[in-house]
Amino acid sequence: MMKSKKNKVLIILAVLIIARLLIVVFESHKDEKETTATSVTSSADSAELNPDATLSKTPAEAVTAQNTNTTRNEMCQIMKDHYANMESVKKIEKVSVRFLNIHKRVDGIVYRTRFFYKDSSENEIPTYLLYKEDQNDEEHLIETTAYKKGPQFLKIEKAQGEIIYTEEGMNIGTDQDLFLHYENKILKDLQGISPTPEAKDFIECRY
Amino acid sequence: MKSIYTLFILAISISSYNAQAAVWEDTQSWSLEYEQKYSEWMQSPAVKEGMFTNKNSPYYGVNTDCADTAYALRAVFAFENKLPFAITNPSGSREPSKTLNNRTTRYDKVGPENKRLVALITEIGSSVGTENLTRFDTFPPAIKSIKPGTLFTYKMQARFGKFIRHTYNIKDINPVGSFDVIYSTQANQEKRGDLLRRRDREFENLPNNPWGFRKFRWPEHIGKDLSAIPAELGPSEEQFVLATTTLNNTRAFFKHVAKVLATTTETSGERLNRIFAAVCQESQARIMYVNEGLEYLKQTGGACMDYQKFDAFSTPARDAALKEMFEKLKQVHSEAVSTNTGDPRMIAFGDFMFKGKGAVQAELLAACPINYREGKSMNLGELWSRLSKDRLSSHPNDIVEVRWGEVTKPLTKCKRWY
Repeated sequence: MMKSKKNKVLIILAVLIIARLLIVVFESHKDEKETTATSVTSSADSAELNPDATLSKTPAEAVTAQNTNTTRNEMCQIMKDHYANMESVKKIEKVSVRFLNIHKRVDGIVYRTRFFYKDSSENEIPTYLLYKEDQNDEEHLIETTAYKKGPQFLKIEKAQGEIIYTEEGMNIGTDQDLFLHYENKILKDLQGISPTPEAKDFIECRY
Repeated sequence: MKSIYTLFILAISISSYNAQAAVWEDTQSWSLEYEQKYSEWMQSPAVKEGMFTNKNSPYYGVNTDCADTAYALRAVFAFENKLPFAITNPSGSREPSKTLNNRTTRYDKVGPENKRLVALITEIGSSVGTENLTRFDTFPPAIKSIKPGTLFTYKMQARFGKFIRHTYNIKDINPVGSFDVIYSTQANQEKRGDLLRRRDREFENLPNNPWGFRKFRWPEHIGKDLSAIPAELGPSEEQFVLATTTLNNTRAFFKHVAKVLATTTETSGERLNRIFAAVCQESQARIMYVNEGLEYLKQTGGACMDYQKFDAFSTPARDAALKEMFEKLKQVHSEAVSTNTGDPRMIAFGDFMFKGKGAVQAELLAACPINYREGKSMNLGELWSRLSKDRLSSHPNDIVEVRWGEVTKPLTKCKRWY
C-alpha cells in the first residue's frame, strides 16, 4: 500500500518535471524566433505598408548626410571631452539636476533611490522614490513622496553602505538647453544646443 | 523516502517558478502593420475619456497625469495585442534591468493580467514625466509621418525661470490639419478625473529639439541613436530644422504642419468658427479650475495655500495660455474680415469683442456663456476685456469675484509662491 502511494507520487513528480522541461524548451525556441523576427525589418513590406517610407529622404534630411555626420561625430567628441568630468561640470556650469538614481547596498540588500520632477500645469514637482531589490535584482517600489524625501528614503540615504551604481541627468546653461546623462559619472549621452558659437544647432550624441 | 522528499522540493521550486507571471506574455513583434493598427486604435472609440475611470473598464484604476497617459495608452495597446512594451528603466539602467517592461514578474501577486497591467502603469506614473518620455522613450518623426498616436511634448518657460512640461496624445487629425487630443494633467490625476479631450487643438509651442512631435520607440530601439530607427518609421529632425530656419514662428510653423496633414482646405471664415469654439471651451474650462481651488478653500476655512497647494490650484500659466488663444482669435477674425469669408454672426462677435462695435452682447452670451459664479455670467467680450487688462487673478486664495476680474479688490494677503 505504502509502496504503491510512493510510486504514484514519483510518477506525478516525473510528469511535472517533464512538463516543465518541455515548457522551457518551447520558450527558448519561441525567444529565438522572436529575436529573429524583431531584428529583421523587411523594408519591402515596410514601404508597402507605409506610404511615407521615403520621407527620410526629404531635402531637409538630405542635408544631414555623410558630411554632416562627420561634423557631428567630431562635435560629439569635442563635447565628450569638454563634459567628461561630471564634478567639474557641476562646479562651472549652472546645473539643473533632472533626475538622480542611486543604487546602494545596505546590510546586504540593494536599495534604489530616485529623484526626478513630475509635471504639473503650473510648475514641476520634485519627487522622491525608494525601491528595494529582491534576490533576482528586480526592484520594487516601496515609497513615493512629493516635494520632500520620505522617511525611508532618508534612512537609506543616510545609512552606511556601498554605492554600486549612479545615474544622473542634468540640464545646463541659462536656458537649460543642454542635457547631459551620466552613468557611474561617465558621460553616456548628450542632447541639446552645442555651446560653440559657430555651431548653434541641436546635437545628440551617444557614447 | 529521501528521494521522494528531494523530488518534492524540486517540484515545489518548479511550481513556484511557474507562478512568477509576466505582466503579459508578448507573442507578437512591433511592425509597421502594428503601428498602423495603433493609429487606428487611437482613432477608435476604444480610446475615450472614461477608459480608466469607468468601473466596467478592464483598465479601471489607471490614474495618470500627462506623460503617464501616453505611456498608459501605448501599454494598453501592447497588452491587447500581445506586443512587447518597454521603457528606459526609470530607477536606473543597471544590468540586467535596462528597461522596465511587460516581462517583469514583480506584479505577479497583484492578480489577473489586466490588474498587473494597471499596476505596471501605476508604477510608471509614479516614476517618470514628460522629460523621460521625450528624451529616452520616443523619437521625432517627419511631419508627414505624424499620425494618430503621435505625441506632442513641450517645455515652456514660466514665471521666475521655471519650466513647465506637458504631453498631448494625438487621438486624431482633423480634416483641416488641427488635432483631436486626449490627455491628462496633474490636477486631473489628483481628482481621479476622466481623461481630458480637446477635439480641435492647435499647438502653440514651437518645436525645440527634443520637444515637439514624438513617436514611441520600439523596445529594441531604446537607448539607440536616431539613425538606428528604421527609415520606414519616419525618424527625422525636419520639424526642428524648420522651426529654427524658414518657419521660425509659431503661426508659420503650425500653418505648414496643418497644410501637410490636412485633407481639406479651410477658409479664414471657417477657421474663425473653429477658433471661436476652442476659445469658448478653454474659457469655460477655467470655471472648473477656479472652482476646484474655491472648493479647497471652503474645506480649509480659507487658509493660505502652501507651495504644494498653490501648485495645484493657481492658474498663471493657464491664464497666460487663455490670453494667447484670445489673441489668436483676434488675428483670425481680422483675417476673416480682410478676406470677407466669415459667417456674419461670427464677424459681428469679433467686431464686438475686439473693436467694441455693435450690440451683440446677448447673442454672444447665448453662444458661449461663462457662468463663473452663482447668478453671474459674462460673455466672451467681457472676459477678453478683463483678461486683456490683466484684471483676472491667478492666485487661488483670492475670492471668486477677484479671480474673474469682476472687482480687483480686496486681494489676498497670502503669499504668492511664484
